[in-house]
Amino acid sequence: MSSPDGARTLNGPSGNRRDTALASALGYLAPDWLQERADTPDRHVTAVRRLPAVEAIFAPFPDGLDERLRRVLERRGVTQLFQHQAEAAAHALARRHVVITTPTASGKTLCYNLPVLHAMLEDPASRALYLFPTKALAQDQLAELQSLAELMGSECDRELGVFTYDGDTPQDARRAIRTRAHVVLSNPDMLHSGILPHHPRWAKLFENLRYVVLDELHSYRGVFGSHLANVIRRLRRICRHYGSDPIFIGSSATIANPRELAERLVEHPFELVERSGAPSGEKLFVFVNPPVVNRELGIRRSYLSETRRVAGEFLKRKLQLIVFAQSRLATEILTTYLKDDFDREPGGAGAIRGYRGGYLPIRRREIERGLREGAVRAVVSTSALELGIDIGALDVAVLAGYPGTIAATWQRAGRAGRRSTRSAAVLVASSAPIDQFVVQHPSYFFEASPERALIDPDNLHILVDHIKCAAFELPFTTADRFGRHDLQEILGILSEEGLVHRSSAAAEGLDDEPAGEAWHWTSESYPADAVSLRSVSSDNFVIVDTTLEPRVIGETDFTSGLSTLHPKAIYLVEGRLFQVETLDFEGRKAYVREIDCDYYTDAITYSKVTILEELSASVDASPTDGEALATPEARRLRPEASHGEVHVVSRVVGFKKIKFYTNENVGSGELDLPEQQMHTTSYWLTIPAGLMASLPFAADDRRDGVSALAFAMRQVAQLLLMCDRQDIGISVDQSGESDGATATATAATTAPRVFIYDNYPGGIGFSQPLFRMHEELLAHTRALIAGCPCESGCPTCVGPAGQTGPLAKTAALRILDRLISPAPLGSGAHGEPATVAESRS
Amino acid sequence: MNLRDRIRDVVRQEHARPLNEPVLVPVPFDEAAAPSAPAIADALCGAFTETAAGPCFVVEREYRAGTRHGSMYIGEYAGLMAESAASGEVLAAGLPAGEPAAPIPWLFFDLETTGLSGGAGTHAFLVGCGFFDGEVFRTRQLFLTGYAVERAVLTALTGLLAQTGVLVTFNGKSFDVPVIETRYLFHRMALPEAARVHLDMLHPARQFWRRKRDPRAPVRRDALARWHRDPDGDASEGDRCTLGALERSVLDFHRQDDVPGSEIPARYFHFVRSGEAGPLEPVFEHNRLDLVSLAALTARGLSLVAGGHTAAATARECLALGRLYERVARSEPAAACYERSAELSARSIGAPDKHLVWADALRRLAKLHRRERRYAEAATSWEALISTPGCPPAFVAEATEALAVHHEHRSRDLAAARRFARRSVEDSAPAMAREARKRLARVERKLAARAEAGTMLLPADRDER
Repeated sequence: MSSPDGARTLNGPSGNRRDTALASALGYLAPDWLQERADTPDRHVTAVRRLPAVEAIFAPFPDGLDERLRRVLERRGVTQLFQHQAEAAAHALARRHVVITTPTASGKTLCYNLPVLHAMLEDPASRALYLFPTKALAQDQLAELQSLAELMGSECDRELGVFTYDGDTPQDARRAIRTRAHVVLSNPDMLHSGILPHHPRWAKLFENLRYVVLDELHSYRGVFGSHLANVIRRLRRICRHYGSDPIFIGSSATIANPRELAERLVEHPFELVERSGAPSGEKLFVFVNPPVVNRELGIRRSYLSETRRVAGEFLKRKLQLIVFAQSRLATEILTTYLKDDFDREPGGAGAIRGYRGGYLPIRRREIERGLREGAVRAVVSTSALELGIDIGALDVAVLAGYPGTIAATWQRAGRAGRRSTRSAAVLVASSAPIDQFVVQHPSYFFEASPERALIDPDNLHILVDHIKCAAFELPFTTADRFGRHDLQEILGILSEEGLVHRSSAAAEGLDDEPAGEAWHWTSESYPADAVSLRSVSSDNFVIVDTTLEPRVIGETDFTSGLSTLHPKAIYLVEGRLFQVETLDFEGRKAYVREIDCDYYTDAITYSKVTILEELSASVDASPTDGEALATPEARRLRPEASHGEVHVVSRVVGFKKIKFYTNENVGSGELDLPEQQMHTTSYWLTIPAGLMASLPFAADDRRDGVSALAFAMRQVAQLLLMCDRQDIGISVDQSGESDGATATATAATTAPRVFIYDNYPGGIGFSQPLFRMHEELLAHTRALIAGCPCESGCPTCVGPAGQTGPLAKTAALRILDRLISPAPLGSGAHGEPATVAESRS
Repeated sequence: MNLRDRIRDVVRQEHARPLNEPVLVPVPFDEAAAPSAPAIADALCGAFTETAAGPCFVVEREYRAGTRHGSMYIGEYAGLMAESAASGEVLAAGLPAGEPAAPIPWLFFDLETTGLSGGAGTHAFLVGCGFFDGEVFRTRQLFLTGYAVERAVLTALTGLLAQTGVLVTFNGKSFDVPVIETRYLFHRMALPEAARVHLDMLHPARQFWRRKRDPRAPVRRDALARWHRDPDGDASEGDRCTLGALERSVLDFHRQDDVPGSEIPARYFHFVRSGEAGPLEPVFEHNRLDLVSLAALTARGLSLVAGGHTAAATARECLALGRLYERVARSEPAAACYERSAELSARSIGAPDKHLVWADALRRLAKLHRRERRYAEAATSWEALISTPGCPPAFVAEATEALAVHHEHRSRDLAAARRFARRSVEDSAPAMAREARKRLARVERKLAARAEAGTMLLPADRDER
């Protein structure tokens, strides 16, 4: 073996057999697959793309790399490096922060293990901290690092302690790890609540910390990323206290802005290594759209059945594959289907496995090993296997449903792929709007850059939480800074609440700095306990199953609590259905009972948005954003779009019962629940009154058109923002009065507004980017609606027919046509300049 | 809304979560009211002493021999300590036998802190130390007059610990010692070398004086969850094993107007903000009483150990003593204690946990005998255990199995072995039943073989043992 990361290369003689089998399966599924063909949105297979094979690009070991380390690598069969490995290591060795984006299985771990191990050889006291978004990933890396450490031990006579430190670490092992671990593998949550607040016990680590590795950097977006940025602020503060200044090495899946994300997380300039030197075989990417079975209602054949058929074709031909499902439920269903089809075949028992969070670690390890060794022929997984867990190289990845983002789709497709032979990825679209948009616009997927990962570390709620944690860890001086807002002012307010107190500081024992004043923590609470990194508020609802002996079966964050746990709501856990019997709002508990029914519930939320401050006209204040699109000039070009701060009042007023599989609406109910208020940021679209007036529809149909437009815009916004469904909220103001201006009596029509707001108190940084993507947002929304084969609306485009109004789809399209007119507004082409001015007065 | 208002909004909203409500309203910091040295000295009746890291505020008190603490006098406790110090090694593993030669042989140690969670932001604002000096008990409390002077407090403590033989705490293994260690580490100061031997009285006290939970009593799930957070929080007064509870039940000492533990941090924060040391005086008194009670309990514990099974007043104390002896491999006094404990509990009336103590004593006795290869005695104990009603099923199962083994391999009374093996099969939990069935089958095979060979179960055969 001479591959630069010592990866198994299982091709050999069976490579040919597999190639033929793959060709046969593809030939059956997409008959003319050998010729890459134009996209055919209306056909069963909407796209076939060939991604050519890539040759390896090698590079020598970087200068100055320890001889002994080179010998250790050679003993593992690594005689030269891939280019990206050499480049990344060179940056790190020269003390430059670096972020690497390379595909799955390109040997990225060596990119950071190389400089880290080098540092350990140079100075045995050196320490490194690896952060992984999940405990499972840390476990996966542990074995690899430990075997390297063992080799180092025998080759270089160096004891090298490598340990995981997380919630599963036994108490009695922790003390030893704190002093003996050279490399600590942990996760952001543990660093936040278990390591930083106890930094005196970790003095050895912090004094000698040379490297911090942030693996799977792209997963630190939104709330989680905003929290992590603050945890890193705290980490670097503690490091400064102990006199260390670690280099950060990040690795990320392909996203649009890896360098920007790394720089926002660490607040330091980063080098970017994005050209992979690893070889890869040719890959085919096929898009499949299940055929329409009911044109009127826009219902397609179940994507799960379609996935079963597609996966079956590969399985029949003895190819090894991974099937990604969108939920735990879908994972279990698909596993059952495939087992039904193949378990009885000779040697078939145990060859099909399910994989998801909630399985015991030992079972997961067994499945991973089965995949690497070939005993497991197909695994059906949730996103749990999307991240870098080592499962070897597979022949095919089948994606049941669009994963939600371009980045995640490439990541999942990348789990299939061999270094030298052909592999394939098949996306089977569900009837969800985003899926339908993507499968019918393959170019959007293949040509667009992947999503930007957005974070807002200066969200006041998040920032204040971490300032408390930081004050607990180390008193702030009166000269300290932390984040973009005025730290001293925030500390002053915390002091009013009795949480900190300003008094003379202790003279540092190490240097002779004169002691000034400092803010000391003066509360008996342990602030990190009250801050959960994975949501804005640590306040949450606990779900108690009362079917038998009462027991807690889950929890839900406060923000989505009311819409998912209202009385009579159906709550799903691992395919089992529970109905909420009572919701104890004050006690934050929902009591549920298991039931058997064929529907789920969808809350109807009424929300009203009031504009507090319009920011779009102001010059962009964000330090890392180069483009200043929000200048007055830009504002003139897109008069109908804005973003700014808003106040959202929302109330869950009722719910719909929706039948599984068919998504039929089978009933509804009313609810009386408390109102929720939130101050956040929002993007909004104002549809000019004149435009509304010019529509050839009755007033009701025009209103329906706006609602329909909002429904579709929400789907597209989610696509553009790389966010989860619950990350954004939507509200339509048909009165046009949200800024306080009363509609004039003469205007029979007003200017309605569509708000798409950050569904987190304080906002999480989606609104401004969405404002910048305004044109894209409208264009894609139009494409989504226009491309949908339904007649007058379906859940895939503007909402289910029967709820949206008969002319809603047509009206929405007409509004979009006018908004996206190629001629600039005001040129008279649409005869509306006067009304535009009027609506803006 | 301007930024300031928004921040205030965010802070208030977050803070609305129930923290431990401060008892005293926070006072805005007033430079003029900053704690002045004479005012503190006045309010707390202490004085500053110079250390290498600056002045440290110390409050010293002495408790004379004639001072009563509960049912005994300080002088009596001092006497018990002096007589029994040699037995210290039974209580604290690793303690050198004989009286430690340090100037302060036993240092009683208890912290008052700004929080219970530990971590870098938890301070020990009052470091309480106490020791016997002849017939007198002295307390020396080191006080953190401001966050800036912590090094002086730690330096003073290092000085005290350097003279100490054994450090005695209550729950110090999991709280006081880690907290104070963190403070040394925080300031990058060397951890004190001396006083390496640490006797945490919580563990022996639990064994001596805490009633057992009946394993047959149903435990509610939520009660169990609460118990994990606070091991003694859910127990009734007699079961509680806090220092306060033991001081009432064992020492018969009852405090008047004691400041509740939950108020203590707030009183210190109030002092930090206002400079007002007055409300802290009850905290100092609380800490001193803790030290005296800790010393008294330790003296009682040591004298129990020194006196052996004859000194113990109750079956429970006797059982605990046996376990302590067994832990330091002194099996003879241990066996005596178990026997005495079984005897006492058989006689006692009214103790709700008597059958548990009794069964535990017999079981430990049996196992001790077996380990010492006194198989016949072990069998006698096991038999006594199963022949009395009220024995917990788990113990019965263990005894039955032990007796089956004993009769199969040692006494070679195969009929008896079969009897116990059968009972074992009936009683065992499913997981163990396979083993039990295997044993039964084997015994029956042996019996059959013996019958074939015409051997009868003659008394001579049984005497072989």
